[in-house]
Amino acid sequence: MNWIMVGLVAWVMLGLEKGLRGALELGASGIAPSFVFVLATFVALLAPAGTALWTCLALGLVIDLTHTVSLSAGGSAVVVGPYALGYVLGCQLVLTMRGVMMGRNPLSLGFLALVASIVCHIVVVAVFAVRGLMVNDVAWAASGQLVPRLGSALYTGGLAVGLALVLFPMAGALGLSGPQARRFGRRVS
Amino acid sequence: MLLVLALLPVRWTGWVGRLGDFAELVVSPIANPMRAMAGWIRPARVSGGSAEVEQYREQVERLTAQVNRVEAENVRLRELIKMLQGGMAMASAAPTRDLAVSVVSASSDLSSRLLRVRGGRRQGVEAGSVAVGVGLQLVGRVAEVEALTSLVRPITAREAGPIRARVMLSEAGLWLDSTLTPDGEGGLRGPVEYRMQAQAPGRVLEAAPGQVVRLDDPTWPEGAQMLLVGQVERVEPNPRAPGRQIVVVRPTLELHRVSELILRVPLGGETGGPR
Repeated sequence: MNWIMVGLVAWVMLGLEKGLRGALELGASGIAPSFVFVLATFVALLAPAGTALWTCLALGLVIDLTHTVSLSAGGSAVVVGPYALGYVLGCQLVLTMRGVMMGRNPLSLGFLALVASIVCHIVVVAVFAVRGLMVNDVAWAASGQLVPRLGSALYTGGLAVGLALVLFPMAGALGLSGPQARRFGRRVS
Repeated sequence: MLLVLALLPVRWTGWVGRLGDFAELVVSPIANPMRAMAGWIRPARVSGGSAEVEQYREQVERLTAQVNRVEAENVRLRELIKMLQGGMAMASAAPTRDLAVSVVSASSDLSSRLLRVRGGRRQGVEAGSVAVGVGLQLVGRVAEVEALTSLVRPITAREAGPIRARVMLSEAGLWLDSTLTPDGEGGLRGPVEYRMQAQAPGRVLEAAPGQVVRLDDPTWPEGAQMLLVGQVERVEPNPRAPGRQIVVVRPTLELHRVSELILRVPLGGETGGPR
């Protein structure tokens, strides 16, 4: 994988995500797509397993670092971990499922982005919920998270189908040639 | 390790904030133009109109807010005179200057409504400074200040908490008080309080859709008083108090979508605290 090119695309995706989130949000519902997650799914679909996991971890960390939460006592803070864990588990799901998917089909990317995004959101909500039980210093409520996050996962899946038309032609430049072909068993040599 | 980091109290992981600032610095050059483009494609204004109409609307809004503020100040001064007669000191309102800032980005997470704006400690921004949008729409307050950027918490964010406001009735000089809480859908809602007003003795005053709602909250700085909170979108019966009303207020801007703001920064390093 070409780390520089992937880093550059990740930078653009993060800019799109943070800049266009308000414009793409459905009313004031909190339902908005994630450009970065589509990239993470794309990398998880085509890169070797180890590389995909490290890339998703890095992307999740960047999302954590640019995600500011309000504190119960006023002010704000950055909590590292929820999205990094969510992205890694989402990536693991894609790695497990990609063997039975059509690798370069936009619909495959859309479906995998949808289910992996659901997994990621479950992890994020779980981490914040556990955190709320242990150290209740962040103004965050688990109630009311289900609909916006499920909606966002669907939206991300839809966006992935559209972005696939841009990302798949770029796969060569990103150094992503697809997973090793081991569909019918382990390679002998 | 990530799990441990995620569960540690924020006071132990303060150093992560510096990494976050660095990440924001790296993302800003691309997020800012995207946000500006988004504002151009889908403006935050709820009710449309030409530039000239917008200008007049803002002028009317400014004058109305000024008149209301003077009226409220008169009431406050009358009360103060009574207190001064008892020997209490009078605190003067801190002067402010307006600082136009652009919104760099929103938070990456869906549950957070904080807005990062380009203006920080170096520009004199202080925590608690009031953020105002187009048409003198109250947007929120600065929650945290960094060297070059600040975080603004909109009044419609769930974690923003309740605000005291006045529902201005169509008849001049009459209003109803209300405590409005963010409803999580970009609006605010709260019960209307019925208090006998000297201008309308014995009359039953009622809120109605379309009425303007203004801030009247002593925990907010003087410069924010009587700013536009929004318009009454609908009125519902209060299930806890039969015969009483609950108002649902919608700001004139979609606050999470604004791309430009004005921060009312205290002059001379004075903190714009509560009046």
